[in-house]
Order: sequence, then structure tokens, then C-alpha cells
Amino acid sequence: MKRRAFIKSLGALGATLTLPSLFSSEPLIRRVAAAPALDEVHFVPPRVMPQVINVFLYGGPSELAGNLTNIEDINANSQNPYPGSMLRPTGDNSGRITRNGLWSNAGGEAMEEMLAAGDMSIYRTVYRRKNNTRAHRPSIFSCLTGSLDIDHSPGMGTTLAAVLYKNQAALGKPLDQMVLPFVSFEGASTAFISDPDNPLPLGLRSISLDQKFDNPYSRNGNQFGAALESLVRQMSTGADKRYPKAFAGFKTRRELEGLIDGFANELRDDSSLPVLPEGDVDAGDGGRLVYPNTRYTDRIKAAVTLAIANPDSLFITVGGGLGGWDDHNSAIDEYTRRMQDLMATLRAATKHIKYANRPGGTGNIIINVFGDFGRNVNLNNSMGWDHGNNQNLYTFGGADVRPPNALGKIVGKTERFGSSKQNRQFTRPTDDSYEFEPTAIAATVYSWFGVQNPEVLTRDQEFAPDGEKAIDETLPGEPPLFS
Amino acid sequence: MKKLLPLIFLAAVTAGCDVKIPSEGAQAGFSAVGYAAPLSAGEFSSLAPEQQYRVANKLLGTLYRGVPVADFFDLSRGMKQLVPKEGGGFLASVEAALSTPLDSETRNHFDTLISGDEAAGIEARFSFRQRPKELPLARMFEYPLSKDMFDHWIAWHLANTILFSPAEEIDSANINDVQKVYTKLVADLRNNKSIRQIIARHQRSQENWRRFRSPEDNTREMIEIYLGLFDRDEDVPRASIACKDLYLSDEDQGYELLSTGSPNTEPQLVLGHYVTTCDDFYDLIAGHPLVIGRVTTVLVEYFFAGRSNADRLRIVESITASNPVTFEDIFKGIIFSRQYLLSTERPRSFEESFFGAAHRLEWDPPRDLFQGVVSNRGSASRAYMAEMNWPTMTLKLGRLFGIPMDSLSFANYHKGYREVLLINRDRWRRGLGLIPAGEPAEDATAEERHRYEINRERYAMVEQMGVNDFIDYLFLGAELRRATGVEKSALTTIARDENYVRTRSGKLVIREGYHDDFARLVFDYISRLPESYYFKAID
Repeated sequence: MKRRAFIKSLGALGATLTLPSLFSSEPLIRRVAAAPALDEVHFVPPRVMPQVINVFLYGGPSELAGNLTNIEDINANSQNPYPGSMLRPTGDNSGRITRNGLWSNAGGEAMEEMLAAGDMSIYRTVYRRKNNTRAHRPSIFSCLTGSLDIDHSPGMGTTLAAVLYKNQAALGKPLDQMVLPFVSFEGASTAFISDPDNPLPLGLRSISLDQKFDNPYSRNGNQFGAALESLVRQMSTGADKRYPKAFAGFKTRRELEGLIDGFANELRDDSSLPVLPEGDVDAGDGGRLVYPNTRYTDRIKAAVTLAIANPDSLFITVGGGLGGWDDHNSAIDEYTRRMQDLMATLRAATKHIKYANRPGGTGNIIINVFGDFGRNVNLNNSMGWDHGNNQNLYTFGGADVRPPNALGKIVGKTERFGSSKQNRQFTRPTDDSYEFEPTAIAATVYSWFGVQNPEVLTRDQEFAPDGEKAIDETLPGEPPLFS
Repeated sequence: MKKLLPLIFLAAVTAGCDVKIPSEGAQAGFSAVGYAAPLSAGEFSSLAPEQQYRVANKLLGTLYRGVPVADFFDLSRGMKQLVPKEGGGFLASVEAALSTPLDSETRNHFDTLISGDEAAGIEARFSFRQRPKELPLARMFEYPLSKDMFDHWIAWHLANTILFSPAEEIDSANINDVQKVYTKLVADLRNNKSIRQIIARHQRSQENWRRFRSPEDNTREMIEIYLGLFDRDEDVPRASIACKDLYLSDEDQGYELLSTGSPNTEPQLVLGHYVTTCDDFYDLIAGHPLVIGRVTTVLVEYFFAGRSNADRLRIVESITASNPVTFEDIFKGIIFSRQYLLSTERPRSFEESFFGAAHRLEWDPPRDLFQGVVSNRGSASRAYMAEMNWPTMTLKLGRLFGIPMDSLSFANYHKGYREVLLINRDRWRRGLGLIPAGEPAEDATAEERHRYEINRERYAMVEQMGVNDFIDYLFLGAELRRATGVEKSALTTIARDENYVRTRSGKLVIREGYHDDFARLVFDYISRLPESYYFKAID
């Protein structure tokens, strides 16, 4: 199925679809989900409806790929030395520091290209000052719920859905006619923790998809399907209350059975990938975009394909196992490879989005990449980095949604602190630097979708009574490290 | 600070580490008192026969086992009047079985049956691809109910939780770590080691360091995992100094746990106690007052997932107040409790659904079953649990607390349960007595002859059943309830359209040779019911 026909088929399906999924990322005994202050939201429909792909790097990635500006000081104080090449600019004997202070072979070259093309920005000072923690669970939950009140807050995707549902009269298209508005490519996601006190209609809850759009929703040996389904419907009175998760799962299964094959065809059909400008490093035969073969490609390509093919997919989460970025040992080689793969994949993804031929364009599609927290900068005796605080936000695309000059820059300055030759050494924002809390990323997502006062959705009575403002995307970037 | 520190513990600040690790073994006949008290024989007997069957299979299903309808009930009076064979002694007999080790001869017999013996010319019943992850399931499937089987089941649970996951997914761990973590747990359980002894032993292992790989990472996670204390950023750096001599070598050196030979000598104040070495720290954790409550909480979170937070807290308090010493104590306290057996309704894990039904339907497993379930290989790969977001001993922090029921995970769960087991009639039609088995060969084993006799009895019984009784027989086995009138009518109509039934002497009967077709239809229907994926409450 070609894209246009496929998109059309989605639109036709939209009127009848309700696509539920109930996630159960329930932590140890806790009270769940007090509704954020939906009634206090000042909502103005966005001029362009965004589509956000939230890539979460579980485990907490080091900031160094995007920030070698302090590496000399870091190395001088580290218990174990960094490779000498990391202390030299790229022009000096295979050094690794790029023009903007990125780590060249940890995705730095790809990032430099995307910065120059105006396809990305880096915020170097995502810094947790409120209720600071270096533990995975509270860090993940606060990042993905957009709240420090992690035991009482729904996921940011759930909050976003609730805001849009409450304000759907102001939206151009009825929300209940949207197809797959909230999607996870990571199964149960903290970003979609539900709010049992304020359940959303089934169609606005997230559904999870396989990155290859495999179709487990089909049934083999189904010769009595219609008759049995009829009997099941007859016998399922009350099942939605008593067995809600399986009930919702079956409902989704019925509705996705045919739909998923359409996405799979789109994903497999490389002829739907855009033709790139002549000489582009990511162009293959005929100048068509070729994604690199990395561990991240399947999920990110699937998320981007879905976003382009289906403008109704408003918030998509992509993640992985917790072990991925938790680099406590042997960090440099592994981290370098991972970041190189990740940024090469994201470079292809940004080109996929930028050059896609979609009516209305694709300048509304944004990819955000961040993690639990940053890491410390001392190389420990296992040659790794332990849990830290300061991290980067890598954000891509979305020129039609953001203010002017929001892309193509690096914002934030850092300095090292901590006792020399001790493990606990970190970076932090300098006194004159812009900085924001990790929960401000959720605030920013809400603002893109029309929330004028995201503070009310991100506040915590005890630690953040004023909530978080959206990131100030109008700030100028830092000058290059080298000319 | 939102989470108050456990004052009772902080008050006990001491100079120097003097934490003792109790070493008592399993307590014979442990049972929780109060809210988590066990279901009594009298209460069990007072339930209606069908409810007894459901409770029995809730208990056994939790253990990945099940009892067939024809074994639980005396069916000589037909399906209309069900009479349990064992009566009120059922729970006690299961409890006794789980406390009784197999003798070595019996254990060897089943191990040989599972893995074969080339020298003796005995063919393996199962083939394996990732043996350390698949063999435990084979043993739980084949071993009789016994302490050995129970030990494996407990170890399986523990190694799939945050408490002991080998974390095969991360770079520094591999399948050998899975094997080491699991076999050491089984050995400890077999030897009735206490919870604290097991935690003390595990913390020091290389496998643990391959999961948590630096002094800071390791000490932070021990505090979080075994004590449930998060946000201890004040204690972690000091604890990591106590462990500063330990490190994990890099990949080229095989990720070995090594020591610099220069242990810390300055006492460090951690969690209100002074510790100097990493051994001190690990003893502090293993001997900490919060350990029992924490591990009980982790397990209660899983088994009582459908209950309110207040209920779960009461269950944790009840079990911990009963002073459990071993993991066996806690698991028995949970699964034999009235609260669990009568009052808890929750989604079943894939193992609970699949293996429970497999035993109830006397399902004949394919040789590569466990390869499919664990390793995505062979004829049963549709039942690959990782696709259900339920991988085996893989995740760094263990499986999720709740059964993954998001749309994708559940679609895979349903598909695996339905296609590999419920509509795969070749594998259950003999066990249920729907077709006659062939005469055993001259050299048939005693087990094969026994199965033949069972099949003869059941086939004779099924042949005599009317259509409604037959549907009830199937429903009880697969769904643990009788079919409703509406279901019987609708299923019979489909069966009539398909020529599975005919009228004989004015009565509707199943045509000879079509019992399995009819059963497949019924099981296909059952696979589509949301209730089929839940353990139900009785009260």
C-alpha cells in the first residue's frame, strides 16, 4: 500500500476506532495518580499540532558526548585518566573534541552536521536542584511523569491526553476520531502510567506496537471467528470492569488486526523513504535515504515512519532496557559505540522527517532524547561513571512548532566540581548559565500542544510549588569552542 | 523529606559493625497469623465442589501446575453431581508434598526423563537451546509436587524479580551468570538457608557485581533492593568507600570481580552503623531489620496485584509479624493464605496460565517446548515470553511488578496461549480421553502403560457424556467453571452446523470421532474470554 492510500485508509478507520491499552508500571506499594490540575490549564490550540517522539535513554547517559567543554579539568582530577585523544581538538592528531565541544566519535560528528543543518539543538544544563536524587526509580519517574510527586502522578503522555481530551472542543479534529494518538514502542511505559481516578476513554490510552509492526493481533486457525466473537460479545457484560486489562487488550486486538499490516508495509517499503540532496552521506542507491544498521534503527525508524504516515500519532515513546546507559564500568568504548550508533540513527531520522513528502509538511515532528540523569565525570576504578545529575537534552526537528531560531544551537555552560581524585565529581551549570529541571521537558511538551501555563501540570506541593516553565527556546546558543 | 527514615533502626546507632546474620532454617509448618492466615481445611470443605476445584487450581496454577477434572472429582455419577475425591485434605496434602524432598532415585529418574541418558539409550524428552533458562521450567513441569519442585519454583520467581535477577541483558552479564544465580539459589533453598544468609551470600558474588558494577553502583543498589531505601545519597558514598578495593575488570579480562588488595581501613557511618570493609557493609544489609519486610513486599506486590494498597500492606505486616525466616516461609504464607486463595483476583502470568492449563488438560508437550517459551525457537516459539514483555532472568531490575497487559504484550500472550496450547488438539485429545490411545507396545514403560489405562477410563467416560456434560467437562478443565446456558446453546449450534453432533434416539450426541473437533471449538472460544487470563476471587 502506498503512503497516500494508506493514510487515507487510516482516516476512514478513524471514525470507528477506539484503541485502548492499560499500562501497569506500578511500583512498590504506592498510592497512584492524583490528577494534575487540569481545571487550571490555560489552553490555546496550537497553530500547528505537534507530534512528539520521546526517546528515553534508560540507565542515565553520560553528558560527555555532547559536552567535552570541561574535559581538561575533568581529566586532571579524575582517578583514572581519559584517553589522550579526548583532550585534543579533531584537527590535532586525531583528537576527539569537535568545533562545538562534542565528542567526535561518540556521535559528535553527526551532531555537528545536524546542528549546522538547523535540525537539532542541545541543552547542556538539564540539572536537578529540586529534590535531587541519583537513584534510577525516582529519576525515571520524575522525568517521565513531569512531576516530582512521583507516587501520585500519571505519565506525561497520560497528562497530555487528559489535557487534549478536556479541551477537545477547541481542536480541529475530534480526539475520539484520531487513530493511534498515543503509542509506545517500549511496551509498558512510565510515560503512560494511567490515572485510575480520571480514566481516559479507551481510544486515548496508549497502545504498544512492535518496532517491526509484527502482527500478533492476527489469529491463525480462525474458522469460527465471527460466531465465537459474537458469543464473546454477548457474554462479556461487565468484563470491562472486572477484567479491564484483558478486555481492553481484546478490543485493541480486533481493531489493530488489519491496521498493523498497513504500517508494516509502509515500514518495509524502502521506496517510501525520501530522496536526499546529492552527495548526502546517508543517501544510498538512487539518492534515497538509507538508515544505518544499528541497534536503535528498528525502533526509531518505526516511530518516525508511524509519525509521518499517521499525523494523528501525537505522542510516541521509544525506550529500551534499563541496562542500556548505566555505564558503571568499561564505559568509554561501549558508550562511544552506543552514542555513535544513536546519533547516526537520529541523523537519518531527521532526514527522513525533513525530506518526507507529506501534505502539510513534517515540520511539526519533534524528537526529544534524554535519560534518568547524567553521570559523574570521574572515571572510577572499574573505568566507568557512576550516577550523576547534569545531563543534555538533545532535541530534533519541529521548526513549525518552535519559536524562530530554536534550532541549530547549543545552550548552557558547565563546570566541574567535587574533590580531586575522588569518585564524586560532577559537572553543574555555571553561575551565568541557563539551566532547567528535568521536569521542564514535560512542561515544554505540554506547551507545544497549547498549554500556556505548564507550571500547573508540573508542580509539586513540597518541592516545586511553582511548577516548571517550558524551556526558553529563544535563548542564543553558545559560541563554538574553536573557530 | 517525604519518606521518613525508619526511626527504630536509626536509633540503634552503634560503633563498629556488629550485625549478626541469623541462620535458622525453614520453619516446619510455617503459617502466617492474622490477616494472611492460611485457608483452613474446614473452610475449603465448605466451598461448593466447583469452587473447591477453582481454589485447588488457583493454588496449583500459581505453582505452574494443575489437577485435571477427572483426577479431582469422582465422575462416576456424571458431571451433574461433582464429588471431590480428596475433600478437605487437599490443601494439607499439597503443603505436605511441597515440604517433602524427592529421594535421589526419584529425582534422577525425572532428570533422566527430561534430559535423556545417551549411555543407557534413553531419549531426552526435551531439547534445549539455552539450558540454564529452560531446564528449570522443564523440571517444574515434570517433577512431582515436592520440595524439589517448590525450590525450583521459588528460585524461578526470585531470579525473575529485582531481588536476584542475573540481568543477562547487560553487557557484563551472560548466560553463565544466569546459571550461577539460579543454581546457587536452588542449592541454598534445598539446604534451608535463611533469607538473610542467601542475601549475604549473593551480595558478595561475582554475578551480583556483574549486575551492579562499581562500588557506588553496587552499594546504592543493595540499599535500594534489599532495604527499599531510596534517595540515600548521604550513605552511598560512604558505603562505596567501604567497598573501594573491589572492582570489575573489563571485557577483555572477562568481567572478573577483583580486589586491589587495599581494603578500606577508615570506619564509615552507613545507615547509622559503622562499617569498614565491604564485608561489613554486606552483613549490615543482610542483617538489617528492614530486609524481611522489603522482600515480603516485593513478593506480595506480585501475588496480590489485584488488591488495594491498604490490603497489601496488611498482608505484608501479617506475614512479617509471623517471623518468616526462609523464602519458603514467605511463599507458603502467601499462596496458602485465605486472602490469596479466596479474595484475590489478578491477571495470571503466562507461566501460570499456560502450564496450569497444560497440566489440567494433560497436554502432551512438544520436545522443543521450553526452547519456544524461553528462547524463541522451534514449534512453540509463538509462546516466546519475551514478546509478552515477560523475559526470563534477563532484565536488570527484574520483571515488572504487574503482569504486562499492554496491547502488544497481551496480544502475544493470547496468541501463544491459544495457538500453542488451546487449539492444538493433537496435544490434549488423548489426555482428556477424546480419542482412544493405541495399545502400548511390548516394551512400553510403566508410565506409558499407566497413561494408556487413564486414557481408556476417560475415553469410556467421555463417550457416555451428552453434549451439555461434555461442554461442562471441557469448560471446567480449561476455564474452571461450567458453561452457561447461553454458551452451551451457542456452541452447540456451531457444532451442529459443522456436523460435530447428531440426534440419536431423540437426544443430541457428539458424533464418533468429532469430540476433539468440538473441544477445539470450545477451547477457541475460551481463549477469547477476558476472564481466561485471570485468577478469580471466590468470595
